[in-house]
Amino acid sequence: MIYNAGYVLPGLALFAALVLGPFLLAAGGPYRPPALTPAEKGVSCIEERAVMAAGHRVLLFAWRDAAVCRNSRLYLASDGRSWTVSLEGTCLACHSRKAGFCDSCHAANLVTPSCWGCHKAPEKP
Amino acid sequence: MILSRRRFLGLAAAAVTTLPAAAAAAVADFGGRCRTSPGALAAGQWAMVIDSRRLARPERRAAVIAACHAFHNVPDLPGPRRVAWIEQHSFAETFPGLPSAFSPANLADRIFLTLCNHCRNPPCVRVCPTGATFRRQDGIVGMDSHRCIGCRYCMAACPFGARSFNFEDPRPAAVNPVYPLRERGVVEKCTFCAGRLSEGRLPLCVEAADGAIAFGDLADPASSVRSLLAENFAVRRNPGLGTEPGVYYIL
Repeated sequence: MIYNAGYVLPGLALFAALVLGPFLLAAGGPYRPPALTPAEKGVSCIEERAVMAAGHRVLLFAWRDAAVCRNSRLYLASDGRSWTVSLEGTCLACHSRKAGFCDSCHAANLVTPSCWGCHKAPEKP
Repeated sequence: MILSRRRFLGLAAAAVTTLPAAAAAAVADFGGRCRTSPGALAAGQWAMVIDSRRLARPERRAAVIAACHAFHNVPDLPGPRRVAWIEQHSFAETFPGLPSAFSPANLADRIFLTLCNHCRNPPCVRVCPTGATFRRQDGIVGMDSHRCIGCRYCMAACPFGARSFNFEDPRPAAVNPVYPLRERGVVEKCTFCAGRLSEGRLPLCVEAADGAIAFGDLADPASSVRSLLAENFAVRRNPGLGTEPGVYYIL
């Protein structure tokens, strides 16, 4: 038996509704990946699309450590092509529309990467 | 099923040891696919020899500084908030203890280019709490702005004042889109143009100095810096501190 159950239980229910409401309302709906602006050049990305979509964060961190700390600035992709380890020179040279490519997906997933504090974002809209 | 405490602890220990390895194996080893560029310049110990006689004219020093600062997006801020990779200092400021009241006038009035000395025994590296600054195998004292937390221990440790702190966002200074800027709250300095070396090119200041600055491998007896040091008397800044600076000055 709870003291003041008439107040406590509705209060708890209201609290739970407020906290869980956004999740419950959105639950069950399909996740729609935002439409991404295609890359500038007609070449495929350095790795498979699925690998890049899931692991570009890991790849960029590995590139950062390789280039800055180990001076390893040549990336041998799994398909045999080689690329310069450079965010500006390689990634952004092709994905030159930050708003349509990087931002749309990051915004949909509430991700705020700190890359753009230093690295120059492409100017193209 | 009821787990005994012994079995639960055993399973927990097994999970703690195997799960991180399994998680690491699931992620592709992107870092392991990175190699040294084939055309990269390599050295046992990079060093620089600055012929201060040939940089006596102010416009020649200004051209060297401009080449560096324009490429690396170094902001032009006044006063104590200034940021610089290469600076100009007087004889007494550059070489404390060296001048006397009777030093030759052409030395006493000369202005010297000063930059990070890329010491063999760098005190900045020793005090950095995050590993953001580090000494590479080739002698370059590197700077990883991603890891810098802005504590400025390195600035206190550096006896040459070669490091600058970003007291404010340098972003309006951005002109060169291929080189990243820095953020407010990180320390920056000369990197001996590590990125250009990996492309097989010499540092920008060396190119802009038109022969007045030599850059090469101290470990190679046939290198340009070794022959310059063998033929000329050259001094380093404050060598008594034991940091083993890698920038030599021909007076």
